[in-house]
Amino acid sequence: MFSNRLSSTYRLSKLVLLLMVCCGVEVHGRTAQRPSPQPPSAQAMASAAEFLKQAEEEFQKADFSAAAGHFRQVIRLVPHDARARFGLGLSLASLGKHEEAYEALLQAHRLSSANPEILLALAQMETSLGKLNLARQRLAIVQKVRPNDQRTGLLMVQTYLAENRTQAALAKIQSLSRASQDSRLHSQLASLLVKMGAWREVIAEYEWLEQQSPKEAETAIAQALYVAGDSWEFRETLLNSFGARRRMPAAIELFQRFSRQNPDNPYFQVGLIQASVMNGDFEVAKEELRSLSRRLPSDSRIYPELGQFFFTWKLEDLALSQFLRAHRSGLQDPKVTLQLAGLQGRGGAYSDAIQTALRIEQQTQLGSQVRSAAALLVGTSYMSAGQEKRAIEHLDLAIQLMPDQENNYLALSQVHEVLRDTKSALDVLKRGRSKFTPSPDYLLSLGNNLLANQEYEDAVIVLEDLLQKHPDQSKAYLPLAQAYRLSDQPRLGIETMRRLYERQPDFPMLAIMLAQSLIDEGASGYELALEELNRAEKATPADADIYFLRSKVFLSMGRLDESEAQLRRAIELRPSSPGFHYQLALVYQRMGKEVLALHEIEKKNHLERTLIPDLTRSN
Amino acid sequence: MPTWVVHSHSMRLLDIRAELSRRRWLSLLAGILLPARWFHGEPVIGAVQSAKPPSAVDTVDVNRAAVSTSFESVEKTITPADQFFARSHHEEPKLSMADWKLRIEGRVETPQDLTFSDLIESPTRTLEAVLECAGNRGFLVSNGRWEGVSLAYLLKRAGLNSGASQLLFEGSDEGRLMEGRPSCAYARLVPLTKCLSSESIVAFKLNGHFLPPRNGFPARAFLPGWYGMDSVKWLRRIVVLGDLDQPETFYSSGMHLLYNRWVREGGQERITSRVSEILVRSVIAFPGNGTNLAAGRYVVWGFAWTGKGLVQAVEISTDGGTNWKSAELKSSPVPFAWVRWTFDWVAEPGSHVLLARAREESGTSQPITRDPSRLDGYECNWSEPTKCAVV
Repeated sequence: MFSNRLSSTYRLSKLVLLLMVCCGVEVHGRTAQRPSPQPPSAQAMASAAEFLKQAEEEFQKADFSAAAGHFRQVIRLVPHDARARFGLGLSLASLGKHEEAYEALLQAHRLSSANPEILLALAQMETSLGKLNLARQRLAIVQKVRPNDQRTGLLMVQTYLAENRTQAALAKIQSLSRASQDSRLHSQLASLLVKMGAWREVIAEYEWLEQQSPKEAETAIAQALYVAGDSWEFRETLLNSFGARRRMPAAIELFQRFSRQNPDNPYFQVGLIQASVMNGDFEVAKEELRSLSRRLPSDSRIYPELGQFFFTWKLEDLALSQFLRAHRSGLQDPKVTLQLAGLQGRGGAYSDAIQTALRIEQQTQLGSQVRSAAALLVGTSYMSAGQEKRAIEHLDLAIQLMPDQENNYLALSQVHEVLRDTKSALDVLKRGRSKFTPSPDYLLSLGNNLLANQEYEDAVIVLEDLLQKHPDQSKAYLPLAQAYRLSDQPRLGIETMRRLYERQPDFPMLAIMLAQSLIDEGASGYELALEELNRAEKATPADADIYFLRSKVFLSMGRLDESEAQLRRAIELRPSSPGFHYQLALVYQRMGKEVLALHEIEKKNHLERTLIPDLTRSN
Repeated sequence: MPTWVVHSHSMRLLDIRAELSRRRWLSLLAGILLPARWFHGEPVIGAVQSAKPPSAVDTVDVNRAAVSTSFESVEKTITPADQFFARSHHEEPKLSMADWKLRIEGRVETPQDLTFSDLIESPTRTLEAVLECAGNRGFLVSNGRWEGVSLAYLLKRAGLNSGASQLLFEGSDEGRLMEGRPSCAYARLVPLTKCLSSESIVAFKLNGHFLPPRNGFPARAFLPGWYGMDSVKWLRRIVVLGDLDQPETFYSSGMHLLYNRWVREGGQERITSRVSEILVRSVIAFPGNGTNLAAGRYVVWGFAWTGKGLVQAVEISTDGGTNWKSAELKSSPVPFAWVRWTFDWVAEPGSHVLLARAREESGTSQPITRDPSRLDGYECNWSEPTKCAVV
């Protein structure tokens, strides 16, 4: 760590000196604060100038040892030369002689106390040496003189980081970033941000650099990838950035290159897989997955993360595959195990889903929430596999473990419904209702089961409540209409169907059901029923039930010829319905055509002898 | 995991001899031949005198199950997975995707042990295709969307050695196939040429979901266009073999005696070739046989398919085969899948015998009756009459 910090010290110091040289900053005798008691001779001054020139050339060539020697010769000849002492300090620092370097810089500072370059060099060294108070004081002085100086800002960031004040460091970096167009500064900021793990900000710097200086951008992203390539968050942020700029092919190229250059690092290949998926290249992603799995058949970190990634991208088979690999690595993470079980169940592999989820359900040391989720999965998988009794056992456990989870009750009630035990289904739903705010699905299920258990008035209350809050719940209208009808409020039932009709005029069979309800009302509903049937005929003219119902209305109204015609049409459309022939027999009977009536009864009996399913459709 | 064993040519002869009577054995030697050609599905073996050919229905496996499909449940052309027909020789093994492995070995450069993850991560293909039992007399046929990994891809990955000519598919289901035979894993030999065809896959999904357990979960071989016995379920091993390689269990179990064409010709019975490609066929889904109808207009409908090329046409007779009219194909036929057809019929009072016959693009039509020379119980593709009483 220390060597890293000094290494950056060196780089910065070198920059400082070069700047001084380039900008002609004068720091020796002429700007010195304290005059020498014995001024050097002109010859000494001339020799010193020669040595100084030599030293600075050597420093530029990174020959720090020779540079230090010549800076010392200058100091021997001109002891008050702050520039030579400053150069000596930087040279010694570069040679790793930190204590000597620091002493040389302090002497330079004594000779030229207001010189900001010396102050900055000292602050940098003190930051590296952990003398943060001193560093901060010196930086405050420099900042007064040079309020927008980037190096001062960078050093301040370093002091913040040394003090673990990451938010302050981040704020300073952002302010420096906003104020500067200097790509080298942005590159340095990116480097600091990488060390801080501030991925989003790293990517922001990278994006800026990519526009201004692709070479610096390349360096910055390379550094970031080497430091943080194994961070899921970093890769995701980086890839999202590429995606937002529609540059996924560039991301693929980047990860391909890093993967090639670093074959031992699987994370670059993982990045390539992610990038390929985000670019829609699923076969490339699978190819890389195969290559990855050959190198790394199971891994408890990479595969769960990849599984999650594929799941997010709705590539459920690939997600399941990764969770299987994680499972084979011996990973005991309940979340991953449950995700695997869930995907197995969704894919129809119920037996596997049960076995996987049972491993979590049976671990009594785990929390109730996770065990309840596992029991729910086991229960629903048993239900899907047609093993309802076992489903009930596990769903009961799910409720026991988490009594306030709505899905547990809903699932259990559904199992009872499958078993046609609507009483138990209703009991379950009633039991759960007070424990949470029920969802529309829950209320619909409760309403349906109240209806099935002949609790019509309660069904009306629940379903009306549901529809008032959620009028878009179209599945609730018909059971509500039925509940009204069965609680001797047929008008309200018809009104309910009309409400649905207004919302969804194309709701299947609605007009026919409405007509049926109107017919049930008696003579007062006949005309309205005929209107509904006319409307239904326009929508589905080949529906035999329309003509059958119309014939019933006509029969009740005594319009026998019309009733017969309607039935003939119904039979034409569906010749093998015994009910149609029975109805026609009734019409003939009323017409006094006994022979024809008998003939239709015979047909009805003939058809009923083979109770065939309705296979007349040919979809 | 069982190992695969290559027998010598002579061992194969001994294996056969154990099964056949001395008289049949001599006849066999006279016609000669042998198995390598037999297993390439070419016409072959000489005259065999036998009272009755062995067939799948004669096998002793008490646990085998046959689940019929229901045409009623077919959505457009797809049979729902829970309605898919299943026919097994042995008890269904309990397998899990987490533990399942597929071994590819034999004449390959790099034997493979594939996990379920490896399968999912391989390039997959999806195709709609019929699966039909070779002994189907009615409802042992279904049509679904299969997803899996091309066998050619898997074999390429393993690297085929020279001399490879056939594949042994071995399932995880085991049992005794015939009385007096040892208990063995179900296994079938299939020519390499069929396995390398683009349609041949190791399937792991049916209609978008993982295979139902009784249909081969976690994975099975699937060879579209061929009868179902070669699409080995609960696949656990693929052994690449050469012409003369003889896998021991395949013969000792008696599997080699099943699924062959046995014919009577000139007073002699003989095996001519193995059963493989699905023959052109159609079925009437509505009305069902024995249905009572009232006079009126009906839409008769059903399905037609073939393992070879495309279905070209379907014809319907409502008078027992005297007159034929064209049915309407409801979609363009595709290879290996069945096509739905319909026929408008005005049913008059009386007794009717409905027949449907399909024709494939090569011109071959579905026969109206069974070839009387056939003694086995396979390739039952003749038109089944549908009798209706209309009042």
